[in-house]
Amino acid sequence: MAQVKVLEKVLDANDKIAADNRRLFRERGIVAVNLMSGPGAGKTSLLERVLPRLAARAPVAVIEGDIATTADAERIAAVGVPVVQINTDKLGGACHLEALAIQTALADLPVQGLRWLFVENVGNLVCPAEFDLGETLRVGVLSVAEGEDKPIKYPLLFRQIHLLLLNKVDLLPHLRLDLDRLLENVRRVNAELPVVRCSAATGEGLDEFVAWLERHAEA
Amino acid sequence: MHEASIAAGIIDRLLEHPQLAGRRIRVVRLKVGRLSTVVPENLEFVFGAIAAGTRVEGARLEIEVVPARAVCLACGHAFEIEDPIFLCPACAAGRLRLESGRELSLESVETED
Repeated sequence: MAQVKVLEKVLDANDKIAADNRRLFRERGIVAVNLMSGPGAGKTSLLERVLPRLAARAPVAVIEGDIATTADAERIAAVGVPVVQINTDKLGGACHLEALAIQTALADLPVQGLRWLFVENVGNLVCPAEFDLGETLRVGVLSVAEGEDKPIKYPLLFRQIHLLLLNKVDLLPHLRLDLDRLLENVRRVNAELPVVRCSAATGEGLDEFVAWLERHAEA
Repeated sequence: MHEASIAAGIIDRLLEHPQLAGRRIRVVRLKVGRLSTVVPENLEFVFGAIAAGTRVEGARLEIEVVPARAVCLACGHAFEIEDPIFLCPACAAGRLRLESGRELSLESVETED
């Protein structure tokens, strides 16, 4: 037997394409936002409410990642925003998006003059956290109906994001959620993570989210 | 189950590596950080399935799990993160620098000849 040193990062191939995506976004002044959450936290509903506000001032596009169906892309198209759907079943049924899928999708989007690109990742709190897409900002969504323990069960994702949207706060009166414990769990995994309490149903907190996006787009 | 795409990535890198051209691979050594989302058992399982029919078929994965270590930026205390709590055990501050734990790397291989 002979030993051969290899010494390579396993995700090197993905990271190189992510670096190309990041360079393209920077050169063209595009702010790319990777939106991550478990299934059903409200990513698409939040986009439906927020996209028209951003689109009123600057061009917006969306890449939708799902294992199957074009349901989410149809909802985004209905608010008048260009959208490309990636179904990961064609890519091996993956549970997350990779940088190559973003690079491929960009070919089908009006990149010229684009300001905002939202990538709605596959609903999953584990796998998407591991894969750099080249995004400018990573935003996590957690709905209050998911309980107090998600941050400490999925620490990598909660450490990777720049902002947490705590969605569906309009449901709080109907839930037995210990909100203080949830916020303490967020702090235990990522003490500096800003949290915006919001509701895609009532519109609460969305001004704050848009203001955060605009502030961080300049940075 | 992103272990499948990670296993496929490892196998591609081995098959394309110039020093390994034409050689059968017996052992693959990896480093996996405690904070990575990779479950070693899942990785071993899908690795075996994806390697079938290639020069990597039957190779044994040796996975070294790297502990998660951090330094507190407030008080300088260095410690290992054992639970998913990213607060300094000495002063309770939350601004940390992670020293290790995110590794996911291919270190070396053993070939048949």
